[in-house]
Amino acid sequence: MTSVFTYTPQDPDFTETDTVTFSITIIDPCETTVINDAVFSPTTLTVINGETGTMTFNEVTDSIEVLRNIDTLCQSRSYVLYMNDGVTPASFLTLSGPAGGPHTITAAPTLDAHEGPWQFKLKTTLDAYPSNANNDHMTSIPVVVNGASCNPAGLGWVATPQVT
Amino acid sequence: MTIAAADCDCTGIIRTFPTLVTHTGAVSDGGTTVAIPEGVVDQTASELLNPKIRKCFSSGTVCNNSGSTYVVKNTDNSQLNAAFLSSTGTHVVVTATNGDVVGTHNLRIVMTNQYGDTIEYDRLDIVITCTIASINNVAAPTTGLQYVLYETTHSVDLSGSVYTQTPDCRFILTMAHTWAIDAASPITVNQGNP
Repeated sequence: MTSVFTYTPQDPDFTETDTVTFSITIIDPCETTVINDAVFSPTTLTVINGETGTMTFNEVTDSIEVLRNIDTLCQSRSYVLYMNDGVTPASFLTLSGPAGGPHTITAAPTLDAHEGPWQFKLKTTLDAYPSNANNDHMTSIPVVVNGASCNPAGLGWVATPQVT
Repeated sequence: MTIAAADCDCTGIIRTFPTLVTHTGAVSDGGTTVAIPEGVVDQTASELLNPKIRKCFSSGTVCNNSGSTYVVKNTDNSQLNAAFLSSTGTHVVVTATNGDVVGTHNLRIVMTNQYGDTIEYDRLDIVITCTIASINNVAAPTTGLQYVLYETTHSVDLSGSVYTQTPDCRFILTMAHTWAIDAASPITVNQGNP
């Protein structure tokens, strides 16, 4: 701000120019927003080994968009599924759905080793704010794979060798 | 009939008013002292008036000018603003600390004498001027300099910035504030309170 002071009755006229300089920092709250947990429906994905099961979730929210009540204020977000350790890619879960949600998680276990309770991880990332220290938020995904019941209906057969 | 020589008696002595003294000072002076002009014995007029006075002068007795003075405003004989003008009896002490006393102050002197009548005369003017030398440059604000997007309108309060004239003339100046703001920023100036 520059201020010019003048007083013409003074001889010679008094004139002085003073300048004060300051900066205003504008902060993007998305740089520090906290990503919320994904809300799954149903809350636990239960599936029988050999079958498929699904659960859905809407676009994950974050603290600033909730505070300001403006959806996806911090723009798009990406999702990746991991095993319990949060590092290894999920083995029998897949993610589908349009950008912006709703998103669908499909479990398709096929191995005996898949049976049991799981806590998969859903990593949510704000695409435009990689420097946000709260980015890459992990939400646990409860998955229960139950053992299959005996069902010979699907047995496979092979032809015996020709008998001459 | 015997006419005896008069004895010396200064009672009827006459004084003349001193010439006008005009003291010009400034707020930045820091304080000055001005001698109070005193009435002067008019020997000629006094001797014509009374042979007793002539006797005094002819016999070598001086009708001295001793007396006391005090100073008042000539407009209404009221007391002086003691913080600005005060009298020591022989001098007026002028202490002009701010622009409130800028102007001409006509003073009346009341001189009470050992001999002769008390006299009053308007023979001392105090003229105070003030010349602005500078105005302080205010410090930049240190608080409220951060705005988080999507919050309500944010204002930086500069009302605490006080511009002071040196010396303290207290003149009403013309002030014009202008801003240089990055055109790309969303910051605007409240024109109603720039």
